[in-house]
This record gives sequence, C-alpha cells and structure tokens, in this order.
Amino acid sequence: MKHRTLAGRFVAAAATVVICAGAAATGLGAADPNSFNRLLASPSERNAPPTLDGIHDPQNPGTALLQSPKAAFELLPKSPGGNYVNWVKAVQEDKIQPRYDRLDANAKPIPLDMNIVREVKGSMPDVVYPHKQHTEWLDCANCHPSLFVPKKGANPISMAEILLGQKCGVCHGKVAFPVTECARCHSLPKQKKDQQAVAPAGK
Amino acid sequence: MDTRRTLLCLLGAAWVLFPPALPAQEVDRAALLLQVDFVHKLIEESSAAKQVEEAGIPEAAELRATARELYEQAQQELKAEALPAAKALLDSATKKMFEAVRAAGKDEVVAEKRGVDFDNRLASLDALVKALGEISKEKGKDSAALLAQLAEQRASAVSLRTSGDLGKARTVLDGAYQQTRQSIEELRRGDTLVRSLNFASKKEEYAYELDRNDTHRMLLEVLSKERSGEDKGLEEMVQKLVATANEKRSQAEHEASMQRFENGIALLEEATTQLIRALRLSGTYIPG
Amino acid sequence: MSTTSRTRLRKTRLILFLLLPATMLVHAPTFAEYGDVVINNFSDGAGIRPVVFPHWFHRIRFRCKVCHSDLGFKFQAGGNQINMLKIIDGEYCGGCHNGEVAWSVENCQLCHSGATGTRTQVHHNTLSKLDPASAAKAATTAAPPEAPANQPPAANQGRP
Repeated sequence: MKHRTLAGRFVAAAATVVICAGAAATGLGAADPNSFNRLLASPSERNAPPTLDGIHDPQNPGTALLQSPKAAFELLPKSPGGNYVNWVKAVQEDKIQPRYDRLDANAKPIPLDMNIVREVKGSMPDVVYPHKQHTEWLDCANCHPSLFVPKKGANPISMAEILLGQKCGVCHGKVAFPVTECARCHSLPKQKKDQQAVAPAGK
Repeated sequence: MDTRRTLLCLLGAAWVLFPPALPAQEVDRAALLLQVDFVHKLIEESSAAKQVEEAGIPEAAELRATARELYEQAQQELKAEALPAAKALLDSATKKMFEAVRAAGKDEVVAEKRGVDFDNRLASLDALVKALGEISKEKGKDSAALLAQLAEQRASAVSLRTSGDLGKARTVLDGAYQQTRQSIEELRRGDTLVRSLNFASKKEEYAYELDRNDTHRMLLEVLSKERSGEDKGLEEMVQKLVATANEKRSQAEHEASMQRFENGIALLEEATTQLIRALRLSGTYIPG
Repeated sequence: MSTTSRTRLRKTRLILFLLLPATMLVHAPTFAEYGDVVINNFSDGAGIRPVVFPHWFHRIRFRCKVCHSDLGFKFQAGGNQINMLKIIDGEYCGGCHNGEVAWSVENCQLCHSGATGTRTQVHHNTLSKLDPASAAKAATTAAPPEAPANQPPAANQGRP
C-alpha cells in the first residue's frame, strides 16, 4: 500500500516535471501570442518517432526498432513542407546516395537535361518542368505515356486536377514536395523569360 | 492547436516515464512466444502450408519436413529456457518453409504480374519511339535505321512473350527501351521547350480562369487544414475576402451563361485576386 | 520497486497507451510522416496489424524508379495486391526484403507494425484535405472486393 502511494506520487511529480520541461523547451503550453511563425505547425511536432506517430502500434515489439525520421533528416537540407527535407538538394549535394539499381550500388542515372516551360496567365511566374531533376529519381516509363503523352501540346494540365491527385499530383502532394510550395514549379518570372534566362527549377 | 501540443507533451512524458519496451528478458520471451505461434501456423496451417501440400513436389515436402524438425528443436530449447538458441532455430525454420514455398511456387501468380509489367513497358517503348521519330524530324536527323532496328527488337520481344519466354522477352524489350531513351537524351540534351498559352476563344480563356479560381479555393482549403494556430481576427478577414470572391464568381458565372465571356473573365480575375489576398494573409507565399 | 507497484505502473502505462490513440483520433491529422503509406487490404481481416510503408526511409536508400519501375509498384496506395506469397516469391517488397539486399520477411513485425484499424492511405496527401470522402473511396477501390485465396502466411503473426 505504501509502495503504491509512493509510486503514485512519483509518477505524478515526474509527469508534471516532464510536461513543464517539455512545454518550456518547445515554447508550448499556453499559446504564446508572439511565438515565431505562430500559424505554422511547430517544429517539435514534425518527424515524430514511429512509436508516437499515431499510425504505428506502440505495443508492437517491432515498432521501437524502426528508425525515427528526425534522426535520419538531421543532416539533410531543409524544406518548408512535406518531410521538411529538400530531397532534390539532398541528392545534388551528395548528402544521400539512393541506389539507381536495387542490386548494383554503383549504377548511375542518365538524367535528361531538358526543360519544359509552361506559360501561365497573369503575373504568376511560368512553370519550369525540369526533366533533369525528375530523371535523377524516375524512369521515363513512370510518366510516359500513362501520365503524360511525350508530345508537344498533348497534355493540358489543370492546377485543380493536380490538387486532386492527377498528373503531377500523382506524386506532388503525396510523396514529392507538396503543391503548397508554389514557387518551386512557378519559378520563371515573366520579365526573365523575355531575356531567355531559364531558371533552374526544383531547387 | 493547444490541445495537440499538450497532447504531445503528455506523450513525451508518457514516453520518458513508461517506455513501451519491457525489460529485455521479458520482451524476448513475449516476442518469442508470438514467433513460436507464427512459425507453427506457417508450417502447419497457412496458405503456404496448403500450397506445399497441394503441389506434391518432393523437394518442397522435404524442405517443409526440415522446417518442422527445426521447429521441434526450437520448442526443446524454449523448454530449456535457451531463448537465443530457440530464436535462431525458429528463424531457420521460417527460412526453410519459405524455401519450400518457393519450391512449390505457383508460377501463375508471378507470371501474371510479370505479364502486366511487360505490357506497361511495351506501352512506354511505343510512346518513346514515337517521340524519337518526331524529335528526329524536328532536328533534321535521319533516324530511319535506328527506328527500323527498334521495330525489329520490339517484334522479337512480343513474339518471345507470345511463345511464353517472358524473361527473355523482357530483356529484349528493355534493350530497345534503353536505346530509345539514350537516343532521346542525346537529341534533347540542353533543350528548353516552351508551351505558350494561347486561347482559341474567350470561352476557352473563361474556362482557364474558372480552373484558376477553383485552384485557389482549394489551396485555401488545404492550408486551413494545415494551419495549427487559431486566430479569430485573421479568420474573419479571410472569410470576408472569400465572401467577395464568391460573389464575384457567381456574377461571372451569370455573365458566362449569357455568353458574355469577356465580362466573366474580368470578374473571375477579380475573384481570384481576393483569394490570393486571403492566401497571402494566411501566410502562404503566392508568387507573382 | 515491488511487484504491486510495477503492476500499477504497467496498468497506468496501458491505460495511457489505450487512451492516447483514442484522443488522437479526434485530431484528424496524425503525426505520421508525409508520404507514409498504410496498406490494410487484407491485414485487419486476417487479424494482423496493417503494414506501414515509410516512403522517406526508402527514398534515402533508393531512387523512386527502383520500386516504381523495376519492381512494378503502381503509384497507388493499396493498388498493388501485394500478399506474402508474392513477396516470398521475390516480387514487390521481396525484390529486396530477401535477406540479401535488405532484411528478410520473417521479421514480420517490422512491416506489420500499424495500429489496427488504420485504413489504407498515403498520409498527409492533398486530396484527403480537400475531399476526404473521395480520398477514402480511392483507397477502397484500390483494395480488391475480397481477400485472395492466397492468404498471407504471416497472417497469424503480430497479435498478442
């Protein structure tokens, strides 16, 4: 009985300490009206470990063996959305070496260095679609012809359709950077296009 | 969302105080008992077991018998509390049973998938070869010999597939595919193609503006779900802008129904501008 | 610590872990990683935990094309009709999870690690924020009408 009470007290006290410490460390607790980026998800909520992410079963003995994304992403270039990792940069800067062939660690992709500029109306920058960054990761057959016919003018693209998971939205908004990062595709300002300077997109 | 943050804190606290992993010995034992159950079902009751029985292939049956022996040995070790030895034996038993499944393999299942994979790759090859022909024309390059060779490889792959040699068919097909890919890469390297925006009619431009308006509405919806903070003042301002946008949009739709697309376009542009303001207010960078 | 207090601790822990997922359900967005795929075509029906496929973990190690071109995975959560027999035969996950490229599939609990009842989906996908109903429908139509005759042999694993 005595033990129980003691243990109970210990639990209560420790929980309070941890909660307060956690709240102080991450600036949580009562919402701070002057917190930085107060409308965005707090960085402390990002990249939760599998045991706490709400989709894994913490009771499963295997769950605790899985890597935590936070640890894996620590050294990778950052991005404002998705996994909060800029995967394109991570490859460009050789921070990760994803295999191009499942068996051959030395197989190298042959990227296609070709941009497609799609004009849009108004002051919104035009879209630059870089084949290069895409073929670093993907094979032609992933998109052609099931998502895009490799032919000029054969692929009318509606942005709303992308948001609903079609065309570019098959990957962007699911796994590749989300569609809310407008400027990564809409990367060619109108005046620059006149000077024929095509900005590299996807960075 | 305060509740969510508090929750995270609580989770953190719970995590520190009560890590879900039990003391090492207990975890091993509990996991091991699960594994014993699993391996038993795998060898005796599962669809894999049935597959081995039905196949009637002696090699598969032998492998299964070995798996069974390993399982029995694991049981003995478990009784003697030699947990690591028991675990190793269970792992070996599983592997043996997997080997048995492979030996008794139902080839149709795998063949069906490989057939689908082949057809998809063939569709890609066709699309790329067509593109290669067009690019060659555009660049004034004579690719007739190459195209003829690719057509020959394609035919050979298809006839191999028809005769049932899917593996070889795929190899030939992949060869043609890689060559096409490489030739396109050489021809297109460094190119920038511009898809200009030209509307055939005001009606078409109206449709474009409608899509643009939809897009911005949807973006607002997505962002409102992603926002974690709550801000009444901001919410009110956003709602006001959205209300104006909605009004302009219904006016635009009315104009369009009267075939006055030019007016419709102007109204939609105004509506979208309101939405862009709302998006920027909510903290999203809308370029332009 | 005495046995009683340890039991008590364990009880508290159990209650916390039972309660927490329930509270999380109220907050629709989970803390799942962007792109995490839950595959629950047959698992719940077979009495095992659903599979969680972490895209992020795999893209650190492989280009997209390795799975989506070489191994023939469609770009559709739950749309590939994967079962354990195909994996053992070296298809889909079995292309690597064979004890050679990556750990073999006898480590059931590493994949079948999802919370029971989590439906097939790609986490944090844009469509689910716009139109949860049609996102759910897309996942349902991806699943077959009934479990195939080849029940996964691991179907018995992972349940306490």
